[in-house]
Amino acid sequence: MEIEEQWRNFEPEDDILEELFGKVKVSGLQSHGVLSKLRKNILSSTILSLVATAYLFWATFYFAIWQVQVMLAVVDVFCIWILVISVRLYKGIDPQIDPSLSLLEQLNNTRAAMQHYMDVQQKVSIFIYPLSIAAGFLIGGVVGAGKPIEAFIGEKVVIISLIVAIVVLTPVNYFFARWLFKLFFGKQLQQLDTLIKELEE
Amino acid sequence: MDEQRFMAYIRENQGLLNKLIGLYANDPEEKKDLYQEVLYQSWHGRQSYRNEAKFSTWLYRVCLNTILTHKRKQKIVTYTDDVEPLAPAIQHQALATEDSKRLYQAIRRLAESDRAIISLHLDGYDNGEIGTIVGISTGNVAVKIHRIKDQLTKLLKH
Repeated sequence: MEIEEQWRNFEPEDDILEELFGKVKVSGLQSHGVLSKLRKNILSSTILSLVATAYLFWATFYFAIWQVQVMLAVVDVFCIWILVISVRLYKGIDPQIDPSLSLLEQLNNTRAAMQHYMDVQQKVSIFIYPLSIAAGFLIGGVVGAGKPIEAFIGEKVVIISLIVAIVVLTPVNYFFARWLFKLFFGKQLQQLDTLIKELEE
Repeated sequence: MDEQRFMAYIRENQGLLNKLIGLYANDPEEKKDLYQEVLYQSWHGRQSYRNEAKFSTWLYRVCLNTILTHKRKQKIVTYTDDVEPLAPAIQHQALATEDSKRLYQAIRRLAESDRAIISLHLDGYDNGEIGTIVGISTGNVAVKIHRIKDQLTKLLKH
């Protein structure tokens, strides 16, 4: 028998799916696709960033030390920049599968959205974390030591500690962000890459 | 399209969904996940369905695009051969079913993209249509189908 005929003859019955068909209310379903997950992640991190930015704005005016204020103002600008990027990214990701796209286009779109998400996370780790560390270090130091800022940053050991903190924590945060992304999305990214490669061969 | 009509269309094409989801799901849990995701995506994308096209073709596209972009467990698929001895009267029909099952199992052993291409081919889509659905050239489809069929022949001989 030809395989075309064998295929047509095969009509698998599936008790699991039959049962599900009877139970499911299609209008109440939620997507568990990767794009929906990315959007949820972006939304929650955007809300957190918004809260953090509001706090930083408050801190910028609260700590009447101009060096800290300058540092915090720079962090504020970067936070707003990241917020704008996050909102754009959120709007740019369509969690809907588009049947007018070919499979290869759909795979590439999904891959690109995931890559874009990772790029934003890395930008955050490179631009926001070092400045936040420096600002936090200065605030913590001044408040904790109870000294004026000039006296605090005038000490050699403080400057060295600040530099060491930035040099050590920035790559740690950067690699931590990459590791987290790989942990949650690495396998799927690999699946997409394999499929794209198979189709393009 | 209201929910009732939509579900009636799905009911008519349940065999297609069973076949395609079964080609990719590694366990019952994954099967349920993929099925619900396909229903979700087709329900929310139903505006893009135009009545002049066949619903099954539209659903095929949604189904493949959804399944292959969805995260799937990576497991080695194992098959069991637990067919009972056949009574003579039903032997012919049962053998045909058995052949179909073996074919289905052989297709499950192929690379994921190859499963999509060969299922479209076996369901009667021509190379041009397959190229459009998958996103590759017609020539490339022909080459791939030839290679996949060779692979299937080898798998079915074992």
